[in-house]
Amino acid sequence: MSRAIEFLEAHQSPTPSRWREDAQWRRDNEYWLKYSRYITLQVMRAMDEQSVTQVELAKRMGCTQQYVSNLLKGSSNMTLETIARLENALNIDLIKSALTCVHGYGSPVSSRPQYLNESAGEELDASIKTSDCVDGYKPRKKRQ
Amino acid sequence: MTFDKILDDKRLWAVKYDGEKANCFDQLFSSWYDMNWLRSFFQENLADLSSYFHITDVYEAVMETIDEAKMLECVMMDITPDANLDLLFKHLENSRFSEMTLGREKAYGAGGDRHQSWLRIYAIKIEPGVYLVTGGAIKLTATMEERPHTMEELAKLERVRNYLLDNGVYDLDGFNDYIENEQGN
Repeated sequence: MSRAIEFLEAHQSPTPSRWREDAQWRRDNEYWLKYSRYITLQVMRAMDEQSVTQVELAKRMGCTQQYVSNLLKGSSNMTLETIARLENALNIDLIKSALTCVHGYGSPVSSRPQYLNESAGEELDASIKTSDCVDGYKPRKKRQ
Repeated sequence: MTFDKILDDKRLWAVKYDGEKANCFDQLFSSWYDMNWLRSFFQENLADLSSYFHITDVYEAVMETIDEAKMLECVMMDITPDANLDLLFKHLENSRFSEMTLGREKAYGAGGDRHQSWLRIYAIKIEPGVYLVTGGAIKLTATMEERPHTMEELAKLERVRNYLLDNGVYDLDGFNDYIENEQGN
């Protein structure tokens, strides 16, 4: 081992890096994180438009500012209750718009991806390109 | 300062600065995925975003950053033992074509269709194929000297480099090359 690497090893911090674990978590959970980010985006835009601060939003939602701050990171697995509280607090629609989003944010309903339009039980179109789906998420075929 | 091993094969390390909860590499990706942090950053740097990248919507920049972070993180995660890190990191100084001891290096994000990535990871090249990350930035200007947050990254590179030099983490031949290089500038 080289002298430089020996030096780095001898001066390692007591707490090892969590990056690989965190990165793996992000990779494994991307299928729902994209929705969290989309909802967060809509909330942030609404806050800007209505000049609502985090403190004010927390007050309207009946929670702490710390909770709102964590939500706005965009990686929170929000419950339906939380989403409904956000909708009420800002008088916006989140769920309906989230279901119609394409490419992660801001696209109109008419460009809804095929996998969100199909009827229950119908097999997914194998020709759907990854780029057609929200944040590159490729939908799995439904079970017969 | 102390150091965290990022790759198990000891080819990539990151500085953990005194008083910080996590090393700078972990912190970089935490920030680049944090929409709240990104929104604040782009609001503060909207003029650069608009002038250099012609983007006027802060939220467009936020989402692009997350996409770029995902791509860069994928590259970092999928580094195999055979992969050559010298291909990932480039000399910080675009005008430098030769190696120097404890050289200052940078890695880029992949970028999108519309523009080159603004994500940067900064590192000191410890030896061929071995790097110590000192920090990173969202670089929106042509040079690092133009903005305080990128200036701070330059300062960190220098501080870490000096720390390694003070502790003898270099080989003498290489250091002599470095002196010659500096005198030539």
